[in-house]
Amino acid sequence: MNDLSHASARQLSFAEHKKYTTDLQNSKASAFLIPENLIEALPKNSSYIVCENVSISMAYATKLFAPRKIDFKAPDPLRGEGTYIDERANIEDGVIIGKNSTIMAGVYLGSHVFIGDNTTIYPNAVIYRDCVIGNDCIIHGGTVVGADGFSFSHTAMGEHIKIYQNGNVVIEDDVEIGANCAIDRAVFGSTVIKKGVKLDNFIHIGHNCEIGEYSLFVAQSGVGGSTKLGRNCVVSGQSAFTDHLDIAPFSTFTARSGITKSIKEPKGVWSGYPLMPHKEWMKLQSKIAKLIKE
Amino acid sequence: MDIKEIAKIIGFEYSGDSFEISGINTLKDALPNELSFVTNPKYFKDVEDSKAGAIIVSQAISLSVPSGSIALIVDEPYLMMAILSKSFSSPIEDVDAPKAIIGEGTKLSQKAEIANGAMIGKNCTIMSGVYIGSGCVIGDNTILYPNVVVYRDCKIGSDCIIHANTTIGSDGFGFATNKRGEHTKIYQNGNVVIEDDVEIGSSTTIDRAVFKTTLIKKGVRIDNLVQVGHNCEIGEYAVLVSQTGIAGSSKLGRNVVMGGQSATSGHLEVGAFNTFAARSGITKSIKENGGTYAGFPLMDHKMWLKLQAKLARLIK
Repeated sequence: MNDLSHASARQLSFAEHKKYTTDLQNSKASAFLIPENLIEALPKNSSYIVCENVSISMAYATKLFAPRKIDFKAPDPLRGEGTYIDERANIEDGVIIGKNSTIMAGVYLGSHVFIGDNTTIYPNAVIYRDCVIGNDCIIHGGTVVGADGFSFSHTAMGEHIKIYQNGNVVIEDDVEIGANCAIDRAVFGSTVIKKGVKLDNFIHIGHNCEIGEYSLFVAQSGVGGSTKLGRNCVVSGQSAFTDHLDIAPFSTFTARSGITKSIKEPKGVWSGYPLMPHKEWMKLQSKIAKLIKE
Repeated sequence: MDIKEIAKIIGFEYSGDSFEISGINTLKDALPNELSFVTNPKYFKDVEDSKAGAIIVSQAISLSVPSGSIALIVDEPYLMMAILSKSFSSPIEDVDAPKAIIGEGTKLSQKAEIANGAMIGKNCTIMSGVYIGSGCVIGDNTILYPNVVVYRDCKIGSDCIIHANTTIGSDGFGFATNKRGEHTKIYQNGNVVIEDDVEIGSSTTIDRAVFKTTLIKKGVRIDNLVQVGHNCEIGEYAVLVSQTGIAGSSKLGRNVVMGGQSATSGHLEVGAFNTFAARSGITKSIKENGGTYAGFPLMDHKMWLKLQAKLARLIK
């Protein structure tokens, strides 16, 4: 299964709404879950199932494609020269670890996880199956990479149907991730942390996010699903982004910023919630200070 | 590490005598066998008073370096310090250290991992999945719940309780960024010291110092999901409620109370007995003791209540 724009010829996709008509027309998927009013928009020769509620049907379908939590048929794990794996680490089959890496006690590496060279994973970090971590990375204790993204379809009764998160997380080279962070796996495709990114403690990165090269995140910040940050963004403490945003490179956010809209201009400095240019925020604060004295 | 080798790494031509440098430290604390650095001209006074054996400086400040100290002149002192910090970092574990010493009456889960060179006192409870690194010292009667991680060289006092998944002594968030926007790690070669009778909730993180110690003093209570940055000092009996964050090098006086989701910026000093309401954002030092504050930007709690009343009217 995959979304309309990324699905390949042997995949199932879905369109919930007329606003996806163009994406549906251009999709390479071979089969679709669609509402009745989108039949006309289907690409030629494609198979389809008309659903009363596409979102719920899609959620049920993701379960059919969810891989087993542990792949018992995978080959034995491979480790490169000079790599140290503590006896109390748990390495599933199908794992590949490069040279001179260190995997400490209590670490869990799920089936088919790939770890590059010179990477250190501190105690009790958990890497879920199929995730990829590059060279020269450091992952601190208690961090979880590849846990399920937070997404559900909601029934008319208010119940929540799990959308199985069948993607993975890809962490590029020279990335450092602090203690007790959570980087969620993608629903389809990958959540990507690019080269040279540094995350402090307690950083939450939602599913399908893309964090640009050399970006910095200070403690207790969070990014909602599918948001993309350009390179060298600086996100100060306790800041947060909503989902599906595009943030220009070299943007700086001061502490406690709440970002709810995409930012097109690079190199801006932003503050507050609702977000505004930092200079405006300073003016606003001085006006508020006057208001108190009135 | 020989001074000549250090000079070579940072690209400074040094023709003086050889001598051994044992570590990097701040200008104030560095000893004659230690290296220090200065990045900002405003610290020239600290340079003049420093006892460091050698100081990495830019050309502009090099004249302030005292006669007992060697000036290592480079273009980017901070970046060079970051590069050198790796040379002074300890291995992640001391494999050759003697086996850990475990005190009488201590219950140690078979699924806990205690690295060589660690010491645990009497009557402690160390539950499954706990990791205790080389050189760690834990006092008596202390309880570590499952999956607590204590990095090397950290110290935890007696009668402490640390809840599940808390990480103590992970690296502080410190990098030197070059002109191309790339980050070089500053190795965090200090530790964390937790004094007696401290309770720490689950999934909290306390970062190790870059040099010296991050200090949690006697009787402190820390809730779940709290972040304490590197080189902080939390005063006796202070209370940090859930999701609070204390940025690097900030010092809280005794009995300070931080409400939920409140935070401080780095390098602040907060007087004793101050209370901060939930979501307070502290960006400036507070010299007074015993105040009550709220809001971001921070203000006196009574002012904050007035402001809320005015804002409520403004909406109408």
